[in-house]
Amino acid sequence: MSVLEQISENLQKGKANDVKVLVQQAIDEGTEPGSILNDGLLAGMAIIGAKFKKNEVYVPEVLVAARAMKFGTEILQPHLAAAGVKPIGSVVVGTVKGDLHDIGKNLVSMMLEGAGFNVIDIGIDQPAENFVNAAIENNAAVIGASALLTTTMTNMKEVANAVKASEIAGKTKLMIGGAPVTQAFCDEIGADGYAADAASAADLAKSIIA
Amino acid sequence: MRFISIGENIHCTRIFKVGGKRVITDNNGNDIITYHANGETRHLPIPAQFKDSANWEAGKIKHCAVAIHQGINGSDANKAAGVDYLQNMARRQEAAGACYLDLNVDEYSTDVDERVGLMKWLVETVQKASSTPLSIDSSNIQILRAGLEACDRSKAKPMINSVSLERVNAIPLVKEFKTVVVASAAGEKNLPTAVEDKMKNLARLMPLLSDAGLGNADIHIDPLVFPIATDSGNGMQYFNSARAIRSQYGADIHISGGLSNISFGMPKRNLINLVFSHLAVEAGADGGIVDPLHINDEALAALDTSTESYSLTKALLMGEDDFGMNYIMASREDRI
Repeated sequence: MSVLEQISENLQKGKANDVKVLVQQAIDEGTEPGSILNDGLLAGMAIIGAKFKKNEVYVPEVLVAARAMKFGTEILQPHLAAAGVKPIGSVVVGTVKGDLHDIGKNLVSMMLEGAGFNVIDIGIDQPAENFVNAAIENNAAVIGASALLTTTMTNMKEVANAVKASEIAGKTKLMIGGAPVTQAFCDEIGADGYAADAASAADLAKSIIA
Repeated sequence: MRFISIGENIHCTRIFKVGGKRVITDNNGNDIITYHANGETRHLPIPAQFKDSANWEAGKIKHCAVAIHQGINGSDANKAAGVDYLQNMARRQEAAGACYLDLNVDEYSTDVDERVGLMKWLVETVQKASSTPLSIDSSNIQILRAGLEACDRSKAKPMINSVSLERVNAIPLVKEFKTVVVASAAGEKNLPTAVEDKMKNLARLMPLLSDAGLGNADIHIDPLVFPIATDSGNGMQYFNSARAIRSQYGADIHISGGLSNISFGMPKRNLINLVFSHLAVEAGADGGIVDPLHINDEALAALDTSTESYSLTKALLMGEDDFGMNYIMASREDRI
């Protein structure tokens, strides 16, 4: 098995320390940093993400894989920077105004990082303008807004309107999700996409910027 | 002591798997939800608009939402099926020992006026089949009010689920309708996990509840339950909160909460929920918002604490099984 395959395998098992050692080994062997990222770390996360979507692995298994990924990217980061490898894009994520739930949003952030995005998490209870301002500051390709309550979900419309009224209109895509959210609601408020779960959110982010 | 189970089953978010045991295609090619009542199998037809949805494509169907839809909008036969489905759920929870039946229509649609009407209809429908007091569950005040107005309050006080610092505008309903409440430890700006933050929030909420005329025996505290899947410490945070609340507020107050949240994202949820409820009671809780068919006095009394299932689940919930890996492995290997 190649070192990149070993990185992917160990990442899927959540073996953070082994991933760290293997990434260092791949660097020492002269493997391209971009290849270590894409064919090792992200390849492993993609498999975990696909299994999670099919209910073949459980939430904690995704968490340990993401932790292993973090261990690997910490070692790899300076080499990626030196080689000029950039994230595939930045995503601003947050929970909308009036809503205090963060577990779903955090899972989405993790899956986005696992898909190679740079994630800016602005937190819970965020007014629409904060999503837009963070997206402008970070030149974000995507905004991901979360809501867990039918009473707060309507604030997603304000995020959609704020995006439309700003300089990032047409450039930054808006995706939404959370228990009460539906595709019909997404269409109604004019968001660019709806994802039913964290793994789908990462796939959606990739497809709407393609 | 009786475990005060607040039956959570009549809830518009509840999902069955399409193609599972409960959702099948009949001989005529119609998609139906099957259920057992009075020793026979009965059917609830799934209307077309529920099949034209992302949920259906993802293999999920909100069965209570289907029943409510049919009960209100269906043909005469389907109306009867929708009503029977919901009343059967009420009777089954009552027979299993539910002390309250929680009703929630929040995720039926985004139209508040529509949901106000649904809640009124649902309360009236369930009350015809069961005398168990109702718990009106919504994050929207108008829906809470509609449910409470429809409640038969002549025999027992209904419950409001829930009031908190982030939802103080629901507190006047307590006095107006003479209810008991689920009081959550949520703050205006946070859903705290740490015991001290929960206690601070409750210290500010409790005087508002006593001003509204509630005694401790009318208050069911929800210390907030977060999934063990996302943080191994979430079980202990609940147990420590329950102990702190019991010691602060004494014997009369009820300690409850959405206990089944603990098992989100994990395999064999019923096992986790049962062991968690057992450990919650040991820590001072005396109730929970649960599925009463699985969590009830009998099930709690019959729980065998000498098995590997119990010890692995307890270790998970006590934060002794990092990322739940031992538990998940045991579940995969069918050891629990």
